[in-house]
Amino acid sequence: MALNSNGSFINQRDHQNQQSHRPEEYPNLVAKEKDLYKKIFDSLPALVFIKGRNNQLLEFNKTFEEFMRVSREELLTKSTYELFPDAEKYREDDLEVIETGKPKLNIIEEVIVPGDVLYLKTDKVPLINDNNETIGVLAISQDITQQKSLQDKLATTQEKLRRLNNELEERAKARTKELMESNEELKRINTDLDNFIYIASHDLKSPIDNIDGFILFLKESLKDRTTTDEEKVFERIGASVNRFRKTIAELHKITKVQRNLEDNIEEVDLNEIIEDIKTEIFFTIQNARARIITSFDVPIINYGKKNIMSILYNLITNAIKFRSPERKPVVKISTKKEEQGIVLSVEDNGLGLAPDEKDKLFIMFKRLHDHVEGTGVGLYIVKRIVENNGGKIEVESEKGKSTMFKILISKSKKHVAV
Amino acid sequence: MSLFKKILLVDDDEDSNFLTKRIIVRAHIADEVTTVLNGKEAYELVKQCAEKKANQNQCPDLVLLDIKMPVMNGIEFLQVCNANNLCDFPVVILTSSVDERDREDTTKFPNVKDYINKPLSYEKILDIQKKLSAGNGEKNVSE
Repeated sequence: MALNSNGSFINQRDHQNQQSHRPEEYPNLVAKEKDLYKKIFDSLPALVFIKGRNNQLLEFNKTFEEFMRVSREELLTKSTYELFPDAEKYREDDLEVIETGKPKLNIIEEVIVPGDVLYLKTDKVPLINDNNETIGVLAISQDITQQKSLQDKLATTQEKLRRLNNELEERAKARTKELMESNEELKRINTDLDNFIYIASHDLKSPIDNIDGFILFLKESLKDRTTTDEEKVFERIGASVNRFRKTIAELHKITKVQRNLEDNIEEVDLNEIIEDIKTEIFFTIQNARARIITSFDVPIINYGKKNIMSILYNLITNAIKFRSPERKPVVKISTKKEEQGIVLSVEDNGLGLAPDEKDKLFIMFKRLHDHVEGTGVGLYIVKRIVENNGGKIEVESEKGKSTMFKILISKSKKHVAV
Repeated sequence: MSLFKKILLVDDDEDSNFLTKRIIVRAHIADEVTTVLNGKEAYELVKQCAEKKANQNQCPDLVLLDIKMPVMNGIEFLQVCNANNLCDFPVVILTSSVDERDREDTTKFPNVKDYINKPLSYEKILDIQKKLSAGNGEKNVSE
């Protein structure tokens, strides 16, 4: 763009026309062209305006006028300082363009117009006259108020989202912390329980030994002087003491389980384990005329030897103990590779369990049957071992028919022998 | 003739001491039984014996030692004796504890010759005496 010698606005095409044609020769054409350019100029969707070196608005299109909500007269007569509260800021950009002679693009600015605050994205280019002097600034602005408000909304939403995310993260962190704390608490309670059982089993043992000793003492002192009834009482005391001793021994077993949990994990051959158990409970098997059938899809697993021994010993002896009087006991022991890991099953054809009995099965000192001897710690120990190894124990049973214990050895790879 | 001249019984359980002492006396296991209630008292005694301050008749030719005791427990007693080279008397652990850790922790000391569970019986002590005289200190830690 350029200014003609009288300072009024013309465009480059006008300028060229002036050079190539004498306007007076084509008065209509020139007038028409000027009119056309003015129309184009005014109907541009962008704000186009020119400011002189002295910061005065020299020319602008209709879009500019409408945007500013100020009349053309006012815009042309008033100084920019009067028109725009932020004129000083715009002036700085203008001066930069004038001084460097280089365009300044993408200036985002807030413009206060009567009754509104709007946003413009402006490109400013130097306005050069015929003598190659910068005489002002040509500016083209886009109204970006809508975009800006959308952007602001987006930013607000993003900020909200970020805050929500943070909150969520904080909550997750707090929850994790809570969980870790309860976990610690549970571990501590477990240790306390183990210590309690240990101390109880130990501290109960000494007095019961003493009672045993004192009974012996009395028996010896009263030798041949006791009545039959008194002798019976002695017998009953002796039996009670023995039962007490047995309970203490079982309690002690539990504390041993806790310590054996660190049992070295090694490759164990389940067939060998079963043979060992069969030897150990030879007479029990013989007396009950029990059959033990094994079928191991996975014959070798990685497990603590004492632990797997303890699990199978308890489950097999239970299966025989709770046999049905109506049939010979059959205990089927098998392993299968299932999706979640190796599953070890011990199934019997014994008394079976009612649904409500299943839940009570693994509780310490819970005995479901009175007709057989036991203290009720066996299954508690089994569950403890299984769970401490990262596994799971489940029971399926039909009253009067069968019971099957299914043990998921572990989800962890360390229990799978290669 | 008794199996031992003097037995030192170290245990805080006085009922247990009463019964143990009774068996020892009735079965003529020892001529005399001295009872102390913790490791510290026992240590004072064996120390005096070693330093010849005590009458040698007072010095035990067998110590029956419990593990769980107040003030100084059995393991601590063995440790302090060992640290002070006071190990020339045989010790037999007499305890209610069936904890293997207690067994491991005590039988590693060279002068601990056996580990038995209460109550003490004539058979058990006879067995110990046999082992002590036969192996002359050779370790045996059967039940």
